[in-house]
Amino acid sequence: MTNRHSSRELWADFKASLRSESDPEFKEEISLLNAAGMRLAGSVTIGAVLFMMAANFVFFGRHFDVAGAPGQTGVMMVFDEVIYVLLGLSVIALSHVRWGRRHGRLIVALMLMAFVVLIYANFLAKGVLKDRGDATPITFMMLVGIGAMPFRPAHALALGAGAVTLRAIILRFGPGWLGLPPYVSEPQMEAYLVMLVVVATGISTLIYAGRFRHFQNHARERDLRERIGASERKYRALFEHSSDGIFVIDRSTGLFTTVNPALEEMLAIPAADLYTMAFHEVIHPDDRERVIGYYQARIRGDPAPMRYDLKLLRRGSDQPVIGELTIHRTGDEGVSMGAVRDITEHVEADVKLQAYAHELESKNREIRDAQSQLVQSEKMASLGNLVAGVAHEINTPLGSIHANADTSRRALELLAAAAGDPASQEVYKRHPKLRRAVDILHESNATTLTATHRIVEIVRSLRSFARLDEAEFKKVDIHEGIEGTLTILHHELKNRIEVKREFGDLPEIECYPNQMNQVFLNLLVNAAQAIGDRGTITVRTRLEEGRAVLEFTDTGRGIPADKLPRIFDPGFTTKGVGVGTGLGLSISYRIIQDHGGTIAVDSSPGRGTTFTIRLPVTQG
Amino acid sequence: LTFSARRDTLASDTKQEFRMTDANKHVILIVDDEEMVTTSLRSFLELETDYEVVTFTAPREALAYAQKQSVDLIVSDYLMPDLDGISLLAEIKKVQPQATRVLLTGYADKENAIKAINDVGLYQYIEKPWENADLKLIIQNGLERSDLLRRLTEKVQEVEKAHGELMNIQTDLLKVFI
Repeated sequence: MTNRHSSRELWADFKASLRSESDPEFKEEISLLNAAGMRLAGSVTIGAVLFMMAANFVFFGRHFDVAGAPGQTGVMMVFDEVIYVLLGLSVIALSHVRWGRRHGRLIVALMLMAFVVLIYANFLAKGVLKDRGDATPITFMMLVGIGAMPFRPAHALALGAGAVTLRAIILRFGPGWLGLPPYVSEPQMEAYLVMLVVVATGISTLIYAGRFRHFQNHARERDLRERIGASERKYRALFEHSSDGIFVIDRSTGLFTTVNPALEEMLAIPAADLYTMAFHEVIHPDDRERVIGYYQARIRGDPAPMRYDLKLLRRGSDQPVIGELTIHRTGDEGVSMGAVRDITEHVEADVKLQAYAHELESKNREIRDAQSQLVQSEKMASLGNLVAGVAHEINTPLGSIHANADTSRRALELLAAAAGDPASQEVYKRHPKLRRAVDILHESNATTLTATHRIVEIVRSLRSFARLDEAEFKKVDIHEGIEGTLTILHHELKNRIEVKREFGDLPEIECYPNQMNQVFLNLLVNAAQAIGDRGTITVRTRLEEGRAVLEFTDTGRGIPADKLPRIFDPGFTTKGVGVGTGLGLSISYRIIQDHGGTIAVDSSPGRGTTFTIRLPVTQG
Repeated sequence: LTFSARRDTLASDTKQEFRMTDANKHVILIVDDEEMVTTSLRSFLELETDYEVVTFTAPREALAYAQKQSVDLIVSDYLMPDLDGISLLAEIKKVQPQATRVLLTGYADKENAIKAINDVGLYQYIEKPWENADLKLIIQNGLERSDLLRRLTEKVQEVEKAHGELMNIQTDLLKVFI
């Protein structure tokens, strides 16, 4: 089976060789083989001649001229042998000449023919072709020469067959048929010849087939290597030039075993350093646990995301690289392969985009707030006008009442003085209620005076609160403004809230007084509303580093920490719909800002809130 | 005997209003378009002082009065129909320069107050609502000022008269000698 198989393989190789003749490498191979064959043929020829000469001496005791004529002596006696040796040398010499396969084969064949002709011509010239063996060595040489040469096996066989046929014809019809002397062969010699032809042809064929097979294997291997090489080159190029960082890690140690330049660049760590590092070392501490968790889950085959974002440490930079990672085990080689794509820019762009969106939103809100503040300040301005007008209208009747009450008091004092006069005792006796009436009048008049005094104060406060002098800064006593505001709030505070004043020495402050009063009003109203039942509002003032510091502290419920950052935002209110506009603090904030000052809040739930305003004493 | 002109009650013949005054009694003119103000002021002044108090609710009538009668002090409101307080005081100043002028206003406008003080030589500026005691003090001081002015005028006249007499004597003497 193996033989048949291999012979069939050989046959397939022969057929393949026909198709492969154009392959220059195979041509070269065969040309080398031809040369080797020629050298072999030449050597065999020379060796055979020398062997026969030696055998003649050993077996026959004399030189037996291969084709020589009896009686010949000297050089002529070994003339044939010399020719054969020359023939062998020529073939060897020719083998060193590099011809094309076809030409080389033709030239060798022609040369061999030429020798045959030469030798026969020699015999004819000598006229001594007589008994036997004359043509035998020649044919022998020819066959050996042809057979030993690794021609294409079919050709070699044909040549061998041709030579044997020619020989048989000569033997059958005798040399005389060709005009040659008669020749009688020895049967054993014939057998050798045939055997030699077969052996030579077989060797030639085997050599040829073997060489071809070798060549083919070689070619296949070469082809495969080339293909593998090409493929590897392709993948290596991908690996080397990829913009994604690609790496292989040892699963047992986590160390990098292969990294591409993109990864080196991404992490700003040279490959040589990376090979001493484990994968987890380049992951940002924030993400390390999560990523390793995912990785191990995937190694175990548990469900885990295929692809996820992570932060990677970049050498010499505070900013982490944001990457998108895929990592998976590769075969059973104990390694894992991963790729990480730098998406920092995307993320940054995303963040920027979000920031822009946020900014846009906040600008929008600012515009809306500005609008509502404008509306609110318009309202306040109209309110100011209204208050001023009302105050003016009230002043006239109020002045009258106030003056009358005072006048009545004075008149009653006169009456009381008159009551002490003995002359009027009689009248008082007659009207016992008269004294009492005078007293009642006196009391009620005192109450009227107190009441009007209160109204006078309120109107004065209203008027100063709603001053229409917004156009320019004025130097005012801040304490007066606070007092005025407290007067307006009197009804909100009385009986419920104690107001402590801890006023320090303040110079007159340059400001828009009505705006400042509005701030005080907002803060004091807030403080009053923050105090649920009873409590204290403390107003402290002092001069600190050339700035006026005003503190409004309440003992109210305080502001939760999560709401604290937003309390100056317009529209933000904790008081519920209908109670607050949510604008008071934001307007206050803006007013203080317009004055080049600051307003800060300090609050803790349950303990109360302190608003601290810092104002420059002069504007400029 | 005091007989004050009560403009508001005597609607028809205010121009012929007649007042019998003591020579040493000061005359105070009060002008406000609100009757309650004039009433309040007069009540107080009549109770506390011996001044002759004349009140008007129409500024033009007050002006007409001042052009005929001598007054020592004028208290006027600022915002009134027809004629505002400053113009009224300016007009009165033309005929009675020695009279002290006081503006009593509920209109909290300092700019106008300053203007008034500069334009009409305002003696005092009082805001409504006022304190009776303050008002009394201002009026007393204002009258003192009026008296001083009047006395100064009298002295000047006396001096001028004496001067004229001296001139006459000088003329007579010259006639005698020449």
